[in-house]
Amino acid sequence: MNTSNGEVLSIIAIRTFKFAKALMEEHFNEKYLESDKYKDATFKGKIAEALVTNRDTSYNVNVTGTMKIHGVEQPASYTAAYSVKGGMPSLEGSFNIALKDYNITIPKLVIENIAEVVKVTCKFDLSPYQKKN
Amino acid sequence: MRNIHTGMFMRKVLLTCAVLLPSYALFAQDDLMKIMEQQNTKTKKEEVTATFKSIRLINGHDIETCKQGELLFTVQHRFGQINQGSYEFFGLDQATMRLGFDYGVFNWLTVGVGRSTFEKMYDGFLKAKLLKQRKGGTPVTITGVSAMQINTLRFSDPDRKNYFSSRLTYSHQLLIASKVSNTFSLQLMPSYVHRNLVPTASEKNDVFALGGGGRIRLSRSVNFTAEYYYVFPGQISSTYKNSLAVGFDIETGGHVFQVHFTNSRSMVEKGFIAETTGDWLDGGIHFGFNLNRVFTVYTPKE
Repeated sequence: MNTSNGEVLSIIAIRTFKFAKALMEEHFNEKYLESDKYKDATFKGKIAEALVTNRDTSYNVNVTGTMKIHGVEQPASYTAAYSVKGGMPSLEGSFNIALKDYNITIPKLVIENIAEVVKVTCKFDLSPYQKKN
Repeated sequence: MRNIHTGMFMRKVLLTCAVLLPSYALFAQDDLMKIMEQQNTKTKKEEVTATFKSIRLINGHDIETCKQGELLFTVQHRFGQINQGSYEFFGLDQATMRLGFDYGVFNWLTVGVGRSTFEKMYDGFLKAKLLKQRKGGTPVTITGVSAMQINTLRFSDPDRKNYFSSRLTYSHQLLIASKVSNTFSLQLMPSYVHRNLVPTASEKNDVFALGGGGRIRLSRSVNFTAEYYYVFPGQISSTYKNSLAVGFDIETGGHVFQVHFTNSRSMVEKGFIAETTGDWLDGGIHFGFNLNRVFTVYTPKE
């Protein structure tokens, strides 16, 4: 997140998602998300509101941008809770992902077992970026 | 079920975003993409997963092991030989079966026990993953498997002096496999079988063989598999043949259903490597299947 212009970028490696059942994790990577081919889920966007960083605060912000999962880009806009505590900003929110929007198909045989719309909850606790030399 | 799966997604997203990843707030004009790329320069080479769909290729083992805390329940059937015609319903009237439980002690170590109706056989094995294939690194996965079988049929000649040790056979295999691409995996199996008692003096107690096999992905849920064991000459009676099996792996969620044709009736190593009787050219082929069901006994903590 760039607090001066509201730009946000989140990249998550698909392989890092952990499941309670190892077999689910294998199927998630192998059959559905194809993490060999599409390594990351990426969201790139911009927060409409100005971001306060110099005092403790909390308010809702609107994020608009592009979500890229399974190699498919979709425009996306979400409402998230922005807060600052002790100089540390954080961003929290949840949204729904419809698998068909990202070209992820479920075989009819197992359709009862897999949600077609997935609710994703995320929380980012941010720390100041130190430039490396 | 629908809700359970959704819940799973939520939890892991929380985990990865809140715990695993560093997140940064910038106070200056920096290009976010460039910074992210700098963060991700040094990552360990990824382990290759899902080389095969089950821990057995067809009759024999493949390099896969059960994950820690996983219990694999296997029901295997081999029917009679197809060339017996319609009276025996092409072999389907004469099923033999093996029930097995395999358990992942660690990700790299699996123990298993089984019981076959054929030769009233008990078997047990230890299977350890010794080397893991990595993307852009180690080219192969190597797994060792040692098994022991106990034949509990009544002794054919109860009047002579019989020893318990005569019932025992052992097998040791080194499985070397490579997931060449997403759709193709290949495996070699140098194998050694020891039989404490053999029927005639011309047959060797020790039998060396080399196996080869692989799988080809046909669709997301269906794989074609093949497996062949070549027994080096002069070790077993000429009535025995090399074992050849071809089949399909069909995945349905928590099950892997393996259907195949093989000239081996036995489902333990000493049987299919050293004592295969069917002849493919003669129709001495058994239809069979392995039904694998995974249960998660517990989920290991990270």
